[in-house]
Amino acid sequence: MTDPTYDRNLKCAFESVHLEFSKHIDTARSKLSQESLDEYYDGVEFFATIGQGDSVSIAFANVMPWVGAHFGKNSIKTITGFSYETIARSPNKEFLVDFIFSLIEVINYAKEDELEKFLSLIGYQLKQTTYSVHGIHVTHSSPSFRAFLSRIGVILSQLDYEGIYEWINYGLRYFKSHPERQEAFFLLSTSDSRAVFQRQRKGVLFVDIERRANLLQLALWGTDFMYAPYSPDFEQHEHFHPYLEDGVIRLPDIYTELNGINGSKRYFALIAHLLAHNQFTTAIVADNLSPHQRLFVEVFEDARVEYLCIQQYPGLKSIWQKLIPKIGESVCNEETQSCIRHRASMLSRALIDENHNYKNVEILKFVNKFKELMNTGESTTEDSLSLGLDFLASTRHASDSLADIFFTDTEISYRDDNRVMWIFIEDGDEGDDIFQKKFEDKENQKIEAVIPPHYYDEWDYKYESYKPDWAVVYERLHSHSDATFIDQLLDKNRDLVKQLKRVLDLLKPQNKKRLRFQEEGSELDLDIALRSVIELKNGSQPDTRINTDFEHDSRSVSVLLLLDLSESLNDIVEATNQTILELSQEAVSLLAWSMEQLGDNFAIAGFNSNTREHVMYYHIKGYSEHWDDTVKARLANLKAEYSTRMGAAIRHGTHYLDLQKSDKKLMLILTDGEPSDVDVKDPEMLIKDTHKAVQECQQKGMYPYCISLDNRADNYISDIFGSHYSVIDRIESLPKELPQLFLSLTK
Amino acid sequence: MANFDISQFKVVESPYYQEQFNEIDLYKVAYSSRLPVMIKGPTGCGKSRFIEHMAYKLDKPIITVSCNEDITASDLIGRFLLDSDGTRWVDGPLTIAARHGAICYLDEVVEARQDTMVVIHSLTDHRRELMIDKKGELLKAHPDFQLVISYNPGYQSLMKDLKQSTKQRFVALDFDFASPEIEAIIVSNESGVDSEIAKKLVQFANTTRKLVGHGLDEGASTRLLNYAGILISKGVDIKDACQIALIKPITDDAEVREVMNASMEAIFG
Repeated sequence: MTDPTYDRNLKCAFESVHLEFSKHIDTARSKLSQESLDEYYDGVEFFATIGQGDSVSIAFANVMPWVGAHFGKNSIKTITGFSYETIARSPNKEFLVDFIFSLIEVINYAKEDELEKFLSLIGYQLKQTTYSVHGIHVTHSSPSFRAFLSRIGVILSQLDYEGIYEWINYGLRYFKSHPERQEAFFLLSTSDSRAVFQRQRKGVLFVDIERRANLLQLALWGTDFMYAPYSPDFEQHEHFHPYLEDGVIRLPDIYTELNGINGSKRYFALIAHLLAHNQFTTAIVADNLSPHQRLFVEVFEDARVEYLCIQQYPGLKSIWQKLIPKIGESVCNEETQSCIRHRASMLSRALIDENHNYKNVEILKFVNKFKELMNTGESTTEDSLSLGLDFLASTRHASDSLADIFFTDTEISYRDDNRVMWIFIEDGDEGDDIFQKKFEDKENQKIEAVIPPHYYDEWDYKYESYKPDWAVVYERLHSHSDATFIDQLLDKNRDLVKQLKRVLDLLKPQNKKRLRFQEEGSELDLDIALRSVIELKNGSQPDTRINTDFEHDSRSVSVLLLLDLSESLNDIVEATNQTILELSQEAVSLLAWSMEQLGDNFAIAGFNSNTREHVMYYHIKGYSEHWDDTVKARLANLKAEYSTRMGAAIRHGTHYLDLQKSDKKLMLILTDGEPSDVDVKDPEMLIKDTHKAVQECQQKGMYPYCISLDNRADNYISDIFGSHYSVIDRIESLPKELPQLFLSLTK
Repeated sequence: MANFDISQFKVVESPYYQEQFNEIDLYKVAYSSRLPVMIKGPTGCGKSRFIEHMAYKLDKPIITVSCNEDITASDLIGRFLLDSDGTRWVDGPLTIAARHGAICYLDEVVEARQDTMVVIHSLTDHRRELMIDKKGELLKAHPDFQLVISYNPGYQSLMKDLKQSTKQRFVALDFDFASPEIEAIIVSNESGVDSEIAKKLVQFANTTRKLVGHGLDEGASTRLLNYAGILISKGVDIKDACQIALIKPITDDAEVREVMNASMEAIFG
């Protein structure tokens, strides 16, 4: 509060500024200290003199009373200084007004003592995105600063400062030289940007607990509704509530801790509430009820289903109680504000918490009525209806319909929008068809989207970090043609097949396992036999299992053969006049035949890529399929095109191989060159990424092994695969070497 | 062999058993005609207890064989043993039961190899006789003899199943966990906890049973509930008892455990 006698005339040449100033000076006087008020005057006067017309001063006059009150002492001066030094005296002066207006949102999220931190963040983003040509002058304005400011509320509310810097740095790293993409990044409108943003968020992501949520639902309610998380912050429906409809539960994608309840428990509370409705609520007609009436009916219905649920699962009570805000009885002034939500909130608490301490007679009366109802043991949604209507009728106040609604702490985060309990006979505009629309959009997309793509991170060696969800892998069944082609290939290599067969026969019986303690067997086990004789001599009962026998131990090996199907396979090998692709087909046929003979569990897949947006992964043979004509037909139709983004393919292959249950898992990668793609200029980038993918694969207990047909491979291959590789120099010998290599690996 | 005392196999004390459907009468009728009986049901639902109880009611001796993979035909029928005077024949449990008139109970019969089980065929049809080929004896079964087998269809796999020719020699009683009310009575009787706690324990067990096939092979059995009840009646905290008797024994999957913990918190408050 300032001295009411304080009087200072605003010195400013703009009439418009005087006009605007006069609208705000009263607010400023009531909110600001004497010092701050002086700073406020100074600021408005100053910005009218910097050659930017009246707009900056007007903006300043508008927002500073609140901003100054929020950040306190010296803050207005600091902001004035910062605005002038960092923004007005730079190529970015056009953003000054945006910046000042954005502060009004900032004070909702930034703490009082965080002004310095906030300003240096703004300064950092601005400085890093403003670039100079030839390094002499900073001449171009930041392409993304305005976008950044427009999202400042979401950014500050979701991330801490450390996270914001990470996110900004990521954007700078990849989009510094693309003004448009940079803008999109800072607008949070690209999937990359969101993916990085998500990783920096604090809290429990729903995807991480989805399995637990599924199991819990099954265990406690025996239901199996699907989940579809939404991002309230990105999709800009901030007041979007969870709901259960058409067998799908919609819920927020992330929960942070609230009132001592951690994220996963909050999900539990939400799911429990939804399923309590599902179990106990019957829908009633809504058309004749006003929104206020519906509000209170919903309060009683929520309390009723929770009460019933607590009878089954008493542990839920304490979680729910903690999540309902404790609202003071006298925080809302009935004379000046609409207290309707305040009353609803008090009622919600009083209905679930015996120690609510509210004195309001009507609330106490209705809590008792509610208790009586519940004690009868039978209740329906109709009962909630009559309680809700009665309650509103006896607490109605003239101020209820005021526009200024008391809102603070009146929202109960785990409760849904109660759409399950209402039937609208007349078609209203109540439904929320945002998701419906999205779904339809998806259906209209190309057939390609039938199997949803998989997203994989890619390693950036320069920054020692992953680029999240960078590569998009689409998986398909490979097209097929004529299986006889493969049979002809096998026939052509008849001699080789014979040779292999001999090796295979040698390989098979090597895995004999001795079975001891057999009553009948092929050999006498002398140790046991002697022991039995001794027992006999002692007169005790001897063990009659004195023989040993042998059993063929099955090989517990799973193999994934990953084929590089990039353009370069169309090159012709001079020695045989065949393309590398044809030779590969021969080699793979022989190998597949051998593996089938051995009875090993194996799959064949091919991959190629056309930028990170389009990595194709073709299934040629699945683990459950046999080496039969369908598989041969697919192998016969192999085509070579595009590039080699090997890391993403290895990650995807790892995913499937990991699901196999066997002692040894081998991933054979057949390639004719180094990893590369058209959208990557740095040749090291994909080599390092592939190396990382290989490491990830090894960490999961698999054994990746590369067979390279590139005679320059020595330059890079050991950087990727360590010592797990062979280079086949004479490509024409591939059909012979590949099966032998496999056999020696699995011996 | 004449002085063999079969009465040692009699059940002396009445084992507690709570009837679930009319299985007691059904069994009595089957016994009265000496029909072989097969009992199916999940682990720890009271199969063995039921047979014990029936043997007591009928006042017949019972010989139990727990089957395993290594069990052979001679383990059931008997074998020659060497002693200082030469060889001596010793009856196996199946032969003893058939010779002296007992109920022979083959527990978890699928664990034994299929070809072993073929030896029971001639005892389980109209012939009611056992050929002891090593001894050259054709044993006619005692009038009181009856064969009962049990197994758990839950972990039936392709490898472990009975041959059709074996299956079709039995009448089958299908057991499951008792209804919650009855199971609560069983738990309260067996362990001495009050019926409120018993009900909650059963409610909890039922949540775990819903998870079968989703990370659990089998839910918590009545036997485990009894263990939990016994711990509680000895003064162990309810949640600790649930942890060590109901959660930790049945799964090693951390996520499933977490879910079971959350259900436990919800149920016991």
